[in-house]
Amino acid sequence: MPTLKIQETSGELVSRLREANQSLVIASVRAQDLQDQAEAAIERQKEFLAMLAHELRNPLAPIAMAVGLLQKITPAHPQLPYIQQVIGRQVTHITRLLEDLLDASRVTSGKINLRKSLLLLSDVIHSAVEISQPSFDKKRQLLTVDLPGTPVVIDGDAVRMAQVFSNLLINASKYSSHHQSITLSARLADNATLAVCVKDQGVGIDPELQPYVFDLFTQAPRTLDRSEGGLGIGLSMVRSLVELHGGTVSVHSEGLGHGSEFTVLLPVTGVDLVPEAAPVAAAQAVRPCRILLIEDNVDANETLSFCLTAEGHTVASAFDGASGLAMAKDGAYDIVVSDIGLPGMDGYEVLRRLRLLALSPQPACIAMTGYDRKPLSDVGGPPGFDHYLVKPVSIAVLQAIISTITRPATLA
Amino acid sequence: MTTNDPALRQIIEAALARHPGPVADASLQLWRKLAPDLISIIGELGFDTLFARSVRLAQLEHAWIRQAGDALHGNDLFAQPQQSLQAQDAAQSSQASLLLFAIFFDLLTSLIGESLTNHLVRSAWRHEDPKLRGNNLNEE
Repeated sequence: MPTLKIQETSGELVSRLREANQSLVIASVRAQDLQDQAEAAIERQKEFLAMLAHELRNPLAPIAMAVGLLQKITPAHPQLPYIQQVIGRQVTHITRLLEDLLDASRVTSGKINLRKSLLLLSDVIHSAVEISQPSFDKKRQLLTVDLPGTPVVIDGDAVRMAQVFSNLLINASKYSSHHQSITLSARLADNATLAVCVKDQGVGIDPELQPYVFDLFTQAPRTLDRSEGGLGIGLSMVRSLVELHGGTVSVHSEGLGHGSEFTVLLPVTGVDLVPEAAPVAAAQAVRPCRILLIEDNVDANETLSFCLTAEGHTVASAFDGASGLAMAKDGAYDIVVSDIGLPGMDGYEVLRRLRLLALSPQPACIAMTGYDRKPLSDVGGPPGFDHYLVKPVSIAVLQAIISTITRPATLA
Repeated sequence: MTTNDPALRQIIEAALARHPGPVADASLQLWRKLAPDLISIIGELGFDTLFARSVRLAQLEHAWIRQAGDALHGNDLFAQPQQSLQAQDAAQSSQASLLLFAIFFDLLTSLIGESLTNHLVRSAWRHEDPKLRGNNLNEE
């Protein structure tokens, strides 16, 4: 019967279509599941990198302080200045890499906060050149800077803006040969837009790589000796920071061997910025203080103790929160410097209990942490630490803070 | 996550609201009415796979929703989520049930398009809402 045959064929067709749909749905959902898994794995890797950077700061802190101490005893041996400089340079380099890693983590988690103010472009570029100058000096490269004749004002974060252009300049230097020229030029594209170009004659960028150069951890193919170094974070930071400032960044290269040109477009303000007279820094004599240092890393504790003692302070050490709190109860300290991540009782809990003691006068409390600054609201009740320092702590910065803490009545 | 189609969302809310009694029971009935129509197009395994992913995504907001084991399908597939809904208060279970339907329809829409999804849902639930009855199922 032809009709029956058609019905059977139609039924078979529907059945096959259903099977095909079923297979498509299963394949599609499986692909979505795999994508979820891949994204979760990337997220875990990012978290791991951020945690790694935080953790590496802890051992780096005493090394950095020990270098500072070495500097003071260099006359002890003729080779010490050289050794101290080598360690100092490498510590600076590692610190920079860790900062890059932490910046990458801040970018991916959206934790970058800008401190905006009106800035002169010339000041921003000056800072960027200062930061990147060692790269040019090392390869004997020539940097030419061409800025507009009239002052250009931008509304931005001075540190982050300098980071944008220093990253571009260091990148240009990194991918250029010795003695090659690099140019930074700025012009007003229109009344509201500033265009800053960083152009080099270096290795150039393969057209296939160009769409991805601003992605995190993307780098040009590496040389065997990894002489170019880096983590592939710099350009990603540039893009994120420029976008946070309401601008864009683009790249153009004719291809490998033809150099590269990066162009940053930023909004400018119509405001005239009257340069302020630089405040005269009042020379502050650092008065000796009684300091309680709570830090569980023995090396970090002892090295910081040496440094502070060398500056004329009296330092007592505790290696966990409970002991530190017990010592602080005597009220014999002007300043308590405490790590946050302590065994048993963390730095925040030490602070909370210390405040409950209502010592008179209250010691000034300084936190040291491998983690980024924690909001005071997380501390568990006001007031929080008076100052927060991120490891590796610079002795100069700590000393500057100590110099601002004046407690004449309790000073020895 | 909520469904991108406001009309679909309204249909889900209206269908759930029409059932007296606990949300868990209403949800179960609606899933049972939906399944045969969809299975006729995407197959039983296709439906099970889509439902399982919807539960996984809903768990991101309501971790207490339990998932059926891999080997289960058909009505057994709905048993664990239904029990999970029963264990919650009315507001929680209503919110979670709505979310589960919304995710499921969003996934379905991404695979077969908005028009066909709308048509299938209206067709499957045509007895749930007088407005969905009639020949022209695509009109409000």
